[in-house]
Amino acid sequence: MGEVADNRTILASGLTKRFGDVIAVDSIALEVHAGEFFGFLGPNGAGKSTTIKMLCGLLRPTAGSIRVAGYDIGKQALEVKRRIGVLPEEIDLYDRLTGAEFLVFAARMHGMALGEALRRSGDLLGLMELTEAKDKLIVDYSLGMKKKIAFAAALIHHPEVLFLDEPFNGIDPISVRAIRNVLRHLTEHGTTIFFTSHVMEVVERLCSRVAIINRGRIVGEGGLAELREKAKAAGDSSLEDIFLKLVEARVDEETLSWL
Amino acid sequence: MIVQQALRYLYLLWWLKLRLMWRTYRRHLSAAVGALLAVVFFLPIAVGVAFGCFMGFRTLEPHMAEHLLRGVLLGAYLMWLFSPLLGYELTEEYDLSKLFLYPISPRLITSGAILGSLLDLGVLLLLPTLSVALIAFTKSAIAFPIVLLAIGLFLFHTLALSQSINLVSAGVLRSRRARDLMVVLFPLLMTAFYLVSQILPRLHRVNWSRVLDSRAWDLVSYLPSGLAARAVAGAARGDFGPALAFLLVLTIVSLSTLYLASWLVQHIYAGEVASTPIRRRAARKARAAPPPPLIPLAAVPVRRARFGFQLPPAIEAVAAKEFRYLLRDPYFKHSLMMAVYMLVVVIIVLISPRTWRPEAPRDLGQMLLWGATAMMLFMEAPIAFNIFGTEGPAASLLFLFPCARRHILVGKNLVLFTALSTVNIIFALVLSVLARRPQLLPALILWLELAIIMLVSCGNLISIWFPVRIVMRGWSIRRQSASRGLTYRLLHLAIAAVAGCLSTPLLAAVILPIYWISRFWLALTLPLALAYACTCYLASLHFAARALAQREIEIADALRPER
Repeated sequence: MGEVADNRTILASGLTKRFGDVIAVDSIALEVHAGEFFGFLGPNGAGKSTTIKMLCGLLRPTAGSIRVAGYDIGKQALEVKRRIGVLPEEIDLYDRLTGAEFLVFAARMHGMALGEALRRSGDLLGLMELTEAKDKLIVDYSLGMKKKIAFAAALIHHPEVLFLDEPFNGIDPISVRAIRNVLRHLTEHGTTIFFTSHVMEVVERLCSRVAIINRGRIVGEGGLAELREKAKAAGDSSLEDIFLKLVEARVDEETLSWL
Repeated sequence: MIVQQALRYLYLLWWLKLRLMWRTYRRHLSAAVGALLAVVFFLPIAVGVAFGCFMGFRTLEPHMAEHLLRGVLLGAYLMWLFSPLLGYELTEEYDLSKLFLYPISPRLITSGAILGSLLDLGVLLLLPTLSVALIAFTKSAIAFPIVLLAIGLFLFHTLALSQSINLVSAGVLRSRRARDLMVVLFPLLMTAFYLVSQILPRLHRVNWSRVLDSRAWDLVSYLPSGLAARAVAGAARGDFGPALAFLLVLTIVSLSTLYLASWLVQHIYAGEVASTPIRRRAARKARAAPPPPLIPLAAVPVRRARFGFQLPPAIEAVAAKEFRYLLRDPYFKHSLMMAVYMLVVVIIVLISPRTWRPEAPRDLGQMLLWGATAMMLFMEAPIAFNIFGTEGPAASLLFLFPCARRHILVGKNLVLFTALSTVNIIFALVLSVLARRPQLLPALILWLELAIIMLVSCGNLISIWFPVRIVMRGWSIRRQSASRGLTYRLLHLAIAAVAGCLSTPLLAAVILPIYWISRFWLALTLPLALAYACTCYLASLHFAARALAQREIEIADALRPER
């Protein structure tokens, strides 16, 4: 386990990312506790994927510090990577490996013995309903299949923290259900999940706490009740209503005269 | 009204093509520089060809000038018909199927694509030759419209047919398997062409006047390129009747091609034409085969170390992945085929009687042998100098794994060393036999093995500081961007020179005892050379592993596709 005594698995402060003149993420602070299912929401281009990339060491922040599972991502990147699983939004896999080969590769890269790697990859292929396609090259997989195999690879070493960027995009409802059950099981057993999605229903149903980012800044954070209070929304308002309010989205009820 | 509407749409499609091209160049400076470099390189060639043709058209006898025109147009025609195989697409900037959302007929979409392709570099470079044909064969005012129409229709028909072939073969040619096959097939064809061009003239002298008078040439000249040439030559001679007749046939052929291309565009959009038979077969096979049984947990074989020594799992995993990529990735196949091509060229030189003529230097065979090994290593350098090149965007995934960075490098190096060694041993074996120096085989192999260690050592460092994304385009390799590709090629040349200097002691350790001192000294020089090569490798591994840990984000970024 990490070096910290408290149970904050993800701790980011003053996290900033600039691309030239554009500030994609502007000095944000995040705290996610062990076993929490944490939702990270925001409109397109708000900085969600940039934040996730920085949290898992795929992008170097311009400023700020990040600790994941008790380790500093800048100084102890390998320790962090040992403990995390990542499903990025853009799936870039080894196209010329078969699904089964890829999972064994991922397991072995985490230091697993071959026997264990084979056993776990077989189990995960079954869970993701990819057993029949296990000997097909990934380049011939559909988008949904790629997402499922990437998800399986993120799980194969049983990570302490799981970063999921839009995990349900392009996946059929049967697999969505299966993945959701896995995620629930994982959080019940102490895995922390950092999750982004555009589907508010899913976030509302799964996440124990939510942060909303807009134009690179956190505009709200907490449970549903806290967010309602922050947004000064009605008691029965949904997460979607709260989200729209917090990101100050203008939803025009009127349509164009010629339409 | 209809014509006006059609013209407006054609103008719109032309504008779209122009705008998209312009945006590509503005957004990616590298693309602009690449296009500029292509113009600088190819324009003088195109102008040179046009000038040569012009001189030929003006100075040759009229009937020979007509044959020349037939030949030139046939060459252009065949080049365009085979362009889809080379990975060239007419409408690179925009996807035709996107235009089907709008109320434009398939014929207009196709015509727009063909007109838009006049902005493509390949077509632009053809224009000087076609222009000189127009100038040279316009002998009178009446001939001018016929010649102009014939050449214009020829160009239109050729582009439409190329488009059709591109569309109809899209399903097959753009399938992964076909592209992989093409990577092997094209260098093989090049090799075969080289062999034929080298051997045939020695066996048989071509009688060109007999070729031009042959029935085959006459029949070939009834292809649209020949029809255009006959119409042009007829108009130049003043035989307007036959010229108009050929022009009429060419017009019918061109319109039919346009209809064919439009029909194909429409049906491909509806998903009725382009298909991959390979996939269908695979689908049948998949249906027929029962689902594979799940491996029972207890039956999973756990491998034991055979020699009481086992590599770390990450090294094994990277090596296994690299080995599979070596077999499956077209880049490696392409590189291997280039080595085969190199081998064939050297073989031709070695078996040539000129190499072994009495007045040739006595040691020419041996010099060629050592020179060929250096050339071979030079050809292998790009693979060794860009070990992350084929990772592409998956590099970010690779760097997410928590294994020691040294293990990633060792895994990659092991496979690279094994692959290059295998190729080089075969190469050395064939060469030493053909050069009639089989006794040199052990020395050649030793030198090549030691040099590979040095190549890999330099490669580890340069791969980390200057990674380049490799993109396979048709049968050819393209670096991520032309400008960066060129810069990196120059850089690779410089590093190859450094690697060459660093390898000099290794070469000296092998050849000095053989040629100048005594073979017994090999017992001392070879262990020293091995120690030197291994020290260089370990030093490079140490620095490269440290640099990799610091630069992995930059490497992953460099290997991501350009947007």
